[in-house]
Amino acid sequence: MKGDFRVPFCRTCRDRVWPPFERCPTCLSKTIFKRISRMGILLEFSTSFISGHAQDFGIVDLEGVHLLGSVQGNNIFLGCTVVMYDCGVDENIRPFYKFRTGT
Amino acid sequence: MSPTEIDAVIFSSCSSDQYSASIIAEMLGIKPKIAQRIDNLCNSGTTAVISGYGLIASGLCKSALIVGAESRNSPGRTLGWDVTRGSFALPIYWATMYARNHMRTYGTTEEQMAMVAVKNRKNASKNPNALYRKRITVDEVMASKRITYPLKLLDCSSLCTGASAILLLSEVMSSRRVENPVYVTGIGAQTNSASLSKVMSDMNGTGTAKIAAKDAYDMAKKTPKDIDVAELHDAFSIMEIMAYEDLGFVDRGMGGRFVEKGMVATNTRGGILGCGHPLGATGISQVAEITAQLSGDAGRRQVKGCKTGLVHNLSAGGTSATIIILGVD
Ligand SMILES: [Zn+2]
Repeated sequence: MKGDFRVPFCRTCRDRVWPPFERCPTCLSKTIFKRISRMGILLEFSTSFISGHAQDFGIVDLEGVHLLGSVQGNNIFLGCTVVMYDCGVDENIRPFYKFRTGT
Repeated sequence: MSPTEIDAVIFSSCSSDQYSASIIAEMLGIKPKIAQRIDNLCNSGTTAVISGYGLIASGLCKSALIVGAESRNSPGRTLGWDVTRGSFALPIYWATMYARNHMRTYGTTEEQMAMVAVKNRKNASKNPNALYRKRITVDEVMASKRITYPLKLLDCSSLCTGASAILLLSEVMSSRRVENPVYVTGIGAQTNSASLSKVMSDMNGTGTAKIAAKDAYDMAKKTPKDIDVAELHDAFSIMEIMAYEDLGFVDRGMGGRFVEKGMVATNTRGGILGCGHPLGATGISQVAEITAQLSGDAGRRQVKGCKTGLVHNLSAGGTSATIIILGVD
């Protein structure tokens, strides 16, 4: 299922709440989902062979939101800019985040 | 000691079996004051030991039977709640990130990681209760199936079915019952988060283990130099290298070289790499091994003259950690 990447923010103190939750851990107010930039920085990456072919993946920082996602591109390096071009929920109800290098 | 003298039964497991501590008590003919189950993923076992310690230290109980058991298909094998891992939910992915970070930052090599697996399998070959008793070589680790870069099949532990148990007694009770008691002298535990997102912002060591280790050393009035034997959470070979550093056995970044020297006897039972990983049972097996070593009951794998031992047990990529120090004086 194709997704729309949004992150909860506290209605009162405006703090970003990640991992997502309906209440703010700081003030316990309700949160509201907002879009954030899909452009992030690659903090660490490597290659998985689990699926039978090489797949690059890594830790991405999206304005302080850290998550693990797949990474595509010819020139992947530490600190490079990546863009989330797809996200959603797979058949096992796991979320997925897909990034490619570039802006 | 008869079952009627046991005041508490604590069951450590990631299974969702109902009322399991009470069922264990009934099946063993025990009518405990307190029966409870502890689930804290991979460090459930040491968390259960801390609970038992607390019950005894408070005076509520004089004795606690602490049992860990897990089946291979335990629900504890992944943490479905953690959406920050995306589709990379398996533990191997965070272990790979730690390994890449260590290689990039400190020049740690795949061969050094392989040496951890070789050492622990060698130790496991002397442990009749270990699942993987066949010795392996660095070349075999390097040639084993690539799972990720840089982790190969033999760098990774396997989930398995297993069980372990220890009996924790008050000091007064142990002085009457046990010839050479082993004491819990230091405890440190720290939970920084449940999600990997908090760990991802700093892969340089395990923050929880560093805090827990300091607390445990302070409580035991010991330093890293005092540790003669240690059980380290080697779910992946890189985790043992990081543990050397988090526990202060060596400076940050020197873990890879430390394994080449082997200055402290580590994972003498074979560790998780050699014994397998029955999640809720693992921490209790670690405590049982250090107890056996300090009692002089470790048989073919006995470390001579050891007086102080340490257990290092982690959960979910190091989001929580337990350190327990044991001693004979
Ligand atoms: Zn708030």
